Amino acid sequence: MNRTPPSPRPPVAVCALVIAPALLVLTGARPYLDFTNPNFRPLPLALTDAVPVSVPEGDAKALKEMTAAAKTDLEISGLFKMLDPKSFIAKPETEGFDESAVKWQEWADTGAEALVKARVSAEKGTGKLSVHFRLFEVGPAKLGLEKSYSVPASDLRIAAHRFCNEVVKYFTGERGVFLTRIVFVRKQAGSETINVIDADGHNETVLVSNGAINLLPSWAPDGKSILYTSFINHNPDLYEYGFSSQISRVVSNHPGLNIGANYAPDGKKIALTLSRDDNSELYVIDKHGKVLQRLTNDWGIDSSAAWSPDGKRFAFVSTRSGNPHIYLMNADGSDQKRITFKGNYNQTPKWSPKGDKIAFTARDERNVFDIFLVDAANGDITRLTQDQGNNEEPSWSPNGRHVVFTSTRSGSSQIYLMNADGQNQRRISTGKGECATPSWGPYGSGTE
Amino acid sequence: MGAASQYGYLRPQPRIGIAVALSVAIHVGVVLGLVFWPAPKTTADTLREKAVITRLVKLGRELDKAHLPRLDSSVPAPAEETVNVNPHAQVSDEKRRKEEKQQRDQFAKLAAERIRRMMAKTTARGEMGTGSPDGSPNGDAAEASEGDVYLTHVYNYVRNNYVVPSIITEAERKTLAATIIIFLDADGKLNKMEFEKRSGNLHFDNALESAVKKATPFPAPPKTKRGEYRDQGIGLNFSVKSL
Repeated sequence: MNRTPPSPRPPVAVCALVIAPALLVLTGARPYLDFTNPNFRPLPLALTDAVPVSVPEGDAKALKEMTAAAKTDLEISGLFKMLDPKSFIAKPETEGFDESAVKWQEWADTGAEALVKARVSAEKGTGKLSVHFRLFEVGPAKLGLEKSYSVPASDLRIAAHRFCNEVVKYFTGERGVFLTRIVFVRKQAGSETINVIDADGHNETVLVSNGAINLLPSWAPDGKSILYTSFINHNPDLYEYGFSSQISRVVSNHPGLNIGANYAPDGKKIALTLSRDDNSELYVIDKHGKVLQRLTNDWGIDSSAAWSPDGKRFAFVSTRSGNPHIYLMNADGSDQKRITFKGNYNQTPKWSPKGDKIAFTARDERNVFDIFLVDAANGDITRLTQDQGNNEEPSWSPNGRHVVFTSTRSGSSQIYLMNADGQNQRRISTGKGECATPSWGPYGSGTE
Repeated sequence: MGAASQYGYLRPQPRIGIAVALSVAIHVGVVLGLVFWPAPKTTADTLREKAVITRLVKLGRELDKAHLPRLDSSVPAPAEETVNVNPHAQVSDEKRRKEEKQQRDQFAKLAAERIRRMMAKTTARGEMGTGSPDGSPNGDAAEASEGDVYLTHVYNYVRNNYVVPSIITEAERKTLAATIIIFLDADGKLNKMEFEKRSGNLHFDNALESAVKKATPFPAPPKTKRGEYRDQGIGLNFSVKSL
C-alpha cells in the first residue's frame, strides 16, 4: 500500500497559530529598570513668625521664643529643611491665616512643600494666650493639620513642642519626642551632678548635687524617676531619684560596684553590674535591691546590661574574649553569644526601641571612639560618626528616630543629637563644664 | 468495485484526520495555555526585558576584616539643596540643568577614557576581565547589546536624581513601589511619561516625577531602538527597600 506523504499544511498552520500570538506579545515588550535605595531629602518647610492679635507687648519675646522652639524642633526631627524667611515671596504678616488666603503659587515658587503658620491672641479673663497653629501642604494646596492650645506666656515653648509633635505624627505616623527630656552627668569644678534638659537642650536643671561623684543616670520606663550610682557613701551604690518627691533613696548598696543599672521595660526589675563576689557580673534585682538572679558567671568583666524593648533579651559588654565586645543573652542569662567581632574596645550597648539595632561605642584602629549600630539579627555593623573627636555613650529617643551621644568635636565633651542614620548631628548642650552619659527619657519624661 | 473504492476521495483520509485532530488539540492547548498559564510569571519574568545592573565592590583599599567600617566622608553630607528661592529662576534652572548635563557628559567621557587607560594597564597584567570601555563601573556583563548600553545610561541618569522625602516612614519604606513609563524622542528628550502603577503616597510619586524630569534629556537612543523607546517606552520600577 502506498502511503501518501504527510501534508505539510497542518504543521505550518499550527506553528503560525502558536508563534503569531507570541510575536505579537513580544513586539509589545518594553525594558524595565529597577531603582532601589533612594537618597532621602528633608521636606522643604516654611515656618512663618507667629502673628499676634491683641497680645500684650511684654509677651513679644515669648512669641519669638515659641517660633524659635518650633524651628529647632522641626530641624531636630530631620524630616524638614527649614527655608530661610528671607526667601519668602509671600508676605506672611499680611497674607491671612485661612486656607483661602494662602498664596500657594508664591509658596511653591519659594520651594516650600509645607507651610506652618501660627496666630496668638490674648484670652479674656484668664490671663492666658490662645495659640492656633496650622500646617498647610503646598503641593495639593490644602490645610493638613490645625491645633489650638491655651497656655500662659511662659509655656509658649511647650505649645510649640506639642504642635511639632503633631507635625511629626502627621507626616510619619510616629510620636514626636519634643516633650521628652534627657538626663546626663555634668562635670564642673570638681563636682559631678545629675542634670536634666529638654530634648532641644533648653531648661537645664540640676537634679542631684551632693558633692560626690554621681554616675550613669538612666530613666524608669514611666519617666517618673531615674536610677544613678553615687559615691556619696564612699561606695558606688545605686540610688533612685523621684521627680515628684525630689528625693533620692538607696536601691542597692552591695560591697563593691553597684553600677550600670537599667529598669526592665515593665519597670518591675533592674539589671545592673555587681562585684560583690569580686568579679564584675550581671544581676537582676527588684526595686528594693533584693538579688533575684545572677545572669553571668565567667572570668571576664561583664557590664552594661541593656534590655531589649520586649524585655526578653539583654545586650551587654564582656571581656571574656580578651577585649570588651558586645554580647547578647536571654533575659534568664541563657544563650550568651558574642555579636561584635570588629573593633577592639566595644561598649555601652543600647537597644533601639524598635528592637532591630543596638547602638554602641567602639574604638577603631585609629584609637578613636565612635558610635556604631549592630544589627541584632545578623551582626552587621553600621558606622554613624567619624573623624569628629571622640563620640560615645549613645542613647535612643523613645521613637527610635534619634540618638543622643557625647562628642568632643568642639573640645570638651558635650551632648549631641543625630538621626538614627547618623545624619543631622547637632549640639544641644550649653553651659560650662563637660557632659557625660546622656540617657534619653521615655514619653512622659517631660511635660505632656 | 464498491462505492467506497469508486469514490475514493469520499473515503475518510486517515492522515488528514490525524492532522486535524492534532491541530484541534494544539489549538485547544494554546488557548488553554494562554488562559490558564500563571500570568505574573509569563508577563513579568518571561516577556519583560530587564537590564540587570549589579553592584560591584567599589575601587579602594581593602578594609582589614577586623576593622570597623568607615564612612565615605567624615561628616555626613547635608541634604541636597533643592529649594528654588527665585520665582523667576525657571529659565536659569533650565540653563543650569543643561550645564550640569554637559558637565556630566564631559565627566562620563573622562571617566571612560580613564577606564580605558586602566584597562589597558591591568589587562596587560591579566588583572581585569573583559568588558566595554564604555561600560558602567556598576555593570557585571562581559558584553552588552547596544540597547543595554543605552539603558545603562538611562539608569545612571535617573539613579543620580532618585531622591525622596525623609518623611516617608520606616513602614512605608518596606512597601512603597511605583512604575513610570517614559517615552523618548529620537534626540533623547522626554516625549511623555505616565504612571503604570502609582505608590499611593503623593510625596513619593511626586519625587519620582521630579527625578525623571531632572534626569532628562537623556542621550539620543541608538537608531535601532528609537522606534521602540518612542512607542513602547522604557519602564522604571521604583522602590525604597533594597533588593
